[in-house]
Amino acid sequence: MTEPAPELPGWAEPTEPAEPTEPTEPTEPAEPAEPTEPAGQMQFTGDPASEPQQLHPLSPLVSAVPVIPALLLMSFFFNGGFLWDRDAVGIPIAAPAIILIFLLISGFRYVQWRRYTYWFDGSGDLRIDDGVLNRNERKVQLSRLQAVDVEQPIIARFLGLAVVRIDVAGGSESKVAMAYLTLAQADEMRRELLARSAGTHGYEEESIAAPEELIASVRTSDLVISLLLRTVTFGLLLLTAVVVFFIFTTEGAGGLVLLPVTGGIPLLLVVSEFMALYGFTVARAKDGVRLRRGLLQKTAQTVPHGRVAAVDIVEPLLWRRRGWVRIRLTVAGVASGGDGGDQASLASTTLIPVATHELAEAVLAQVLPGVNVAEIELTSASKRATWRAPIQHSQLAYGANDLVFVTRRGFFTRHLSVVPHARTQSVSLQQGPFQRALGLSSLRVDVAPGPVVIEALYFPKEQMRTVADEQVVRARLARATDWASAPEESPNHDA
Amino acid sequence: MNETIDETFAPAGVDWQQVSPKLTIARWISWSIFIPFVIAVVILLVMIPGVPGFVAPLAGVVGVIAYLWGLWFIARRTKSWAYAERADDLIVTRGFMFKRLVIVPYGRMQLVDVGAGPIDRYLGIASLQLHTAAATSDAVIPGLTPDVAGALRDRLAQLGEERAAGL
Repeated sequence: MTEPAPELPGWAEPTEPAEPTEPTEPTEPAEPAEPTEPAGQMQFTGDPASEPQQLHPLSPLVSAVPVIPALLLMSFFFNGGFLWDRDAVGIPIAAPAIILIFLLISGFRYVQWRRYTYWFDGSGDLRIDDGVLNRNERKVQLSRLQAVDVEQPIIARFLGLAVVRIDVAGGSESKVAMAYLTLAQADEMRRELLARSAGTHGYEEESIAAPEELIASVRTSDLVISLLLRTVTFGLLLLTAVVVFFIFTTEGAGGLVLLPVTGGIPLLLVVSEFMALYGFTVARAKDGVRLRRGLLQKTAQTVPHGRVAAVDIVEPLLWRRRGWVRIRLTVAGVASGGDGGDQASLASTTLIPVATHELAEAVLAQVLPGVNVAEIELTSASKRATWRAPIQHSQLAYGANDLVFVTRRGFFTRHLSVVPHARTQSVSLQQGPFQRALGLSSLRVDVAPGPVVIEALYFPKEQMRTVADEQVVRARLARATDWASAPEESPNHDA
Repeated sequence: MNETIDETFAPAGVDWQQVSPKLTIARWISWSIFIPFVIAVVILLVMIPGVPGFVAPLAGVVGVIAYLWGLWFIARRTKSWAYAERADDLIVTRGFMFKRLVIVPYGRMQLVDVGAGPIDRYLGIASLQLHTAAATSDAVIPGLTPDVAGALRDRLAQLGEERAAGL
């Protein structure tokens, strides 16, 4: 059922080739919040192709620097724990060894850098050739572009450099990282990729250069409090307090063993999430919703218009008194198989880490235009569900309007999950023995892989059956008039 | 339709296709690896000194009963497996203890896989799996004869291309 991807329309009239931007000297770290718009460089109004270009010349050095801490650690261990001990092998051996290994790695990175070229080909797609021993030629099909992120790891940030991460739907090699470009180049590359993918051929320069409109920015104090009040974190911290109390009252030090677990894990969680989510802002840009975050490593993530497959509005128990919510996203191609581990994927699937209901509504309106989740009439679970779900039954609900299907579940952490009908993949009903005895059944709407699960739990089975059939019809109608799609989305049906 | 499927999970008025009875045999064969395990346990119990004499036969009887129960359960379960091609979607129903009904719109199918393991091939059956953009879409139809599976695959691929739209 695969068919060749259609050529992007409209790259036909050739004018002068786009000026290849030579890698410039690193500028001082620019403020990413207001990206400068190099107006002259955006003119790919005609010729889709461009000359092969190289990454920034400092790239090999920057990518080699992270091995230094590892080398220091290694020499530390080889030296029996004394790095600068004058009597032992110490500096005379460790220092040259570290320098030598560093130079070797830098040299390898240099050769890699020499071999890495990128350009836009005749059909307007991004091409990357790289590899030292195994040559690798990649074609990044921009009609299937899902997201473009600009990241600034700590060292690159000092030099004003950035990584461009590109997610393309489908395929095992669907993630591409271009390390490093200057921040200005990276921003320009992002704009160009997104503009090319949207097929906005010959769009007006002014509109793309329009400044981003800030929708929300998260206060640091709110972020810290919200992270501490998350259900799991708070539970573990409470446990820590209890353990400490017992250690003091009984003077038995045995409880100390528990502290790293009960206290350490939440601390680690809070710190790493804080670093990833620090300074979170949501802004509206021409090409989508721009999310910026990060304390040491800065990330600018763009959610292109209409690529949101599902949204989860999360309310931990202790946030509810403050009226706070967190919003998480499923964007096809982003959440699945993240290369940065759990925390990175948590951060990269967060639309906003903490917000009041009003702010959350404003942010949601950016990714799901025209949907007012609060206005959707929800059907609550029947009394019978109490037997199956004694704690969360009061929260169980589902509902739909003409654009989205919504489910609610969870007591300690309440999830209000929203899926546009146009993003519904398949619908299924389930029933275990316990549910059958009560005449109940559960419904699940399958969407692209990501953090959002859409489940209507424990409703009378006939009712669920009707809802399942209705949802399939709604999904079909929504596809016919694909409201959630980007205007020029490719007719490819694979994600 | 057999009596193990209730109306919620197998709506009437639809042309339900049941899977081949050979599927039951295939699953029985797989289940039969349980037998050598029972025999091994019985032999061990006989050989270990100090185990009362009645324990080994008891273990054997329990093992055989569990095995027979498994055969019955598998038969019920595979019998409940059925699918139907409706105007706009394919529906698959299955399960006896844990029931499940999956509705996959034709327009959402990305890939239709037909596969057969060694036992399946020996018995002349194949299983067909539907893939959508969602990894959780769990629509599998096992126990199809190869020509039915092939024809169904081609039909579904055809319908999928006709209805394909968007993500």
